[in-house]
Formats: sequence, C-alpha cells, structure tokens
Amino acid sequence: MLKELEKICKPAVFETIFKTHSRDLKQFLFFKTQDLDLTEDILQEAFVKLWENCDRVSYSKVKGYLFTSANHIFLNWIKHRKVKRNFEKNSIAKNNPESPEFILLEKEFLQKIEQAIADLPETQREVFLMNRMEKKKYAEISQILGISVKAVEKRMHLALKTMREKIGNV
Amino acid sequence: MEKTNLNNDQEVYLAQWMAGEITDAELSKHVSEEDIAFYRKLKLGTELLSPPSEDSFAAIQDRIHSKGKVKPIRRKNIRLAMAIAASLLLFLASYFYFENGTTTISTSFSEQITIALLDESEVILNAKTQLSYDEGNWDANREVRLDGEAYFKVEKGSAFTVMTNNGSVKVLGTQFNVKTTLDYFEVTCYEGMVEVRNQDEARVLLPGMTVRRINGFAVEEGRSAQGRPSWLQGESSFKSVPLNYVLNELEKQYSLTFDTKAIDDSARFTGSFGHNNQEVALSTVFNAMRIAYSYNDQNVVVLRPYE
Repeated sequence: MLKELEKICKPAVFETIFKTHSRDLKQFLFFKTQDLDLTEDILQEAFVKLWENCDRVSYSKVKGYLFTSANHIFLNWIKHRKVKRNFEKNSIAKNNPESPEFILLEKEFLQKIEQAIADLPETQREVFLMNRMEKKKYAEISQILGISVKAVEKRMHLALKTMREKIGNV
Repeated sequence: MEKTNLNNDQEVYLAQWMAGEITDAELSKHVSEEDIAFYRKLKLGTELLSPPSEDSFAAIQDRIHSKGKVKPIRRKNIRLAMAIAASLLLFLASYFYFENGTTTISTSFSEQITIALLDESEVILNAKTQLSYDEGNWDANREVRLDGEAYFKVEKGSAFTVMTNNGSVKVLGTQFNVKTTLDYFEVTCYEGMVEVRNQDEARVLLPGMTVRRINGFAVEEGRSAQGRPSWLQGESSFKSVPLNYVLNELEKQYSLTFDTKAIDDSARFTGSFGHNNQEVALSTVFNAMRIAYSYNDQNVVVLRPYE
C-alpha cells in the first residue's frame, strides 16, 4: 500500500499520468466550459492539486481524483464568476452563443472527425495528423517527409476539403 | 498579400488558414460562411483530440514550483501545507483572511458572493456584509458570526448557529435568510425549522415565516409567500419598514450617502427596488414616499419632502 502511495510522487510517474489522462480530462472540461483557455487553466490546476496530494491518492484512483477535483475547480470558478463581474463580462462575451466566435461543439462531432481522419488517403492523413495532433509546422513536416512545403500545404488543403465533404453540414 | 503563383489546382488556402497565415476574411473569399464555421469547428475539435502539449505539462511544473513545493510534501506537514495553499488561494481571491484561526469573509458595496462552508453548507452574502467563523473548531461547533444580510443553505448535521449582535439563529439543516444591521434584525425561514433567540425570548419559525425586530422590539411576524429572498434575484423588498433602513440598504447596494435632515426617515416604506439601476431605484423609493432627491457637489443625495 505504501509503495503504491509513493508512486504518484515520482516525477516520471506523474508525467505518465499526465500523458495518460490529460486528453480525456481536457475533453471532459471543454464540454463543461466550451472554452479552451478556461479548460487549460482548470486542467493545470487539477494536476497541480494531484501533485500536492500525491502521497494521499492511491494510484488506482488517480483518474477519479483528477476528474472530481477538476469538476470542483470548475464549480468554484462558476461561483467565483458571480463575484468577479468584470471577468464575467469577458467570459460571457467569449461564451455567448450570439457572438460570432462562439462554437458549440458536441461529443458526436469529435467522433465524426476521428472517423473522417481514418478515412483520409494515407498521404493526406499523415500530414493532417502531424500538423493537428503533433503540432508540427508545415516546414517541419516537409523535412520529415522529404517533400516541399508547398506539397505539404497541398495535402493539408485536400485533407481539409475531403473532411468537409465527408462530414458535411453540422 | 496575394500570392500570384496560386492557380486553381494549387490552391492551399485551407492549409494556410489552419496555420494562421490567412485570416477568416481572406478565407471567406474562397468558401462560404458555413464552410468557415465548419473549419473553425474542425480546428477546435482537433485541438480537443490532440494529446496535451508539452507546454501544458511545463506550465503545470511551473505552477508547482512557483508554489514553493519542489518536492512533494510529507504527510505530517500536509495540514500546514494545505493551510498555506488555502491561504494563498484565499488571499488571491481577496475576500478572505485568516486571523487566529478565524476566517472572515466580507462583501463590498453592491457585491454579492456565494461561499461554501467547510461542511458544504452554502451561504450567499448580500452587499456590505461580514461573516466570520472559527475554522479549527468547526466540526464541534458550527457557528458563524454575521453582520449584514445572508441567505443560508445549511447541510444536515450538528446544530448550526448564526450569532449576531441582535440575537442568535439556531437550525438543524435548513434554508433561511438573516438580516442584521445596527438595531435591525430580520429572519425568514424558507425550509426546515429555525429558532430565533435573543436575551428575552426564543421563537420557532416554520417555512414562510418571518420575524423582524427593530431595536429589540418585535415589529412584524408574518408569512412570506416567496420561495427565496428577493435580493438573490437582484431586488430588495420591504414590507412596512422604516425609511432609514431602506436608505441603509440603498447605501449598501449603490455606495451612496444620504442627507436626511429635511425628511422624516421613520416613515414606513413598502415596496422594492432593483440593484441594477441607481436612478430607477431611487425614483421608485422616493416617489412612493413623496420625497424629492438631488445630488449636491459632494455627491451626497439630498432628500426633501415634496413642495
């Protein structure tokens, strides 16, 4: 038991936990907040909290701990927002469905994207994944694949077009 | 910047837009509004599908280190560390400070805040209100001190007491509102059962019942039909309340000062005013009371009876 408790406090284990759970946590938070910045902020806070309590959380419960504390942080933020009126104004402007920047994104849409990526031709898919998932710039991708930047852009352009046709109106 | 080498089968505007090289406006030359909406959504969606960036993990490391805890804290220090972390947080929130184990929360003019007590009981504070409680002794003694107005949603458990200068309110898991300023004391029960006590007497309130004392004298004990206090919806309501207490409330909500020399401020007021528009609020109250108001050069609201 003690051995297990100590695990999370090891930086390497902590980093693995981050890699394992942060994507799901990010999605979970985004569907609550519909705001990427806020999602990122709460996500970070939840991991900071996990680190602070790393010798009290058992390894097998780490996912539940992360999601529960992220949820608490979110609820506190909601309460706090009532106080900070200025902050509220800002975030409402961003979160307001009337504003042109507002994007309502549902879980189903993520599944559609995943499916559409899987259906892309190989050459388009590798460029798309390197750019969107691994955050590589077109220039970096061109070096890896040994093709011109223009060719990378071309594949990316086609990938986006294909996905538009595939997913259709949403 | 227009790129001349782009002809139709070499178009890459979508790739450029995705990389932030061209704007929405430029993109809209090539595709429809719906297309742009779709691509925005796609961009956001891939953001959510992508694994967390290294920046994100680095930021977490920064936050951990900036809290001064490079190494995970040992168990025996956890209370201390939690207190430090909590006080840091609370300090940032700027509503809170610790003093001999007592937590005090106060609101300023026209401010309302919701707080959760240690047992998840919820308290909503109206403007210009101060609430304090002893954190160390909380489990044994759920007691808060109140000056101002607050709405309580108490979790079931041991006795919960609100101490005020005008008497105490004791409950066992319920919802109620307490207003206590100077010699004005008003308690309304919304759910459960509440006991209101001062030196001379104790009264039990059932849902919907209100007891109001001014200067120690019971002035009204009535029933209210509302499910929640109106101030939670941004409105202060009064039923046959002396004007000076209404002015006191206006001062708290709008950060005003009144000159009442020319008027009788003991006249009773029945009605309500909203918290979002000062002029509407003032004219609502003073028209009803047949009082004219004007601002002097110190921005004091001078009150006079109608000619």
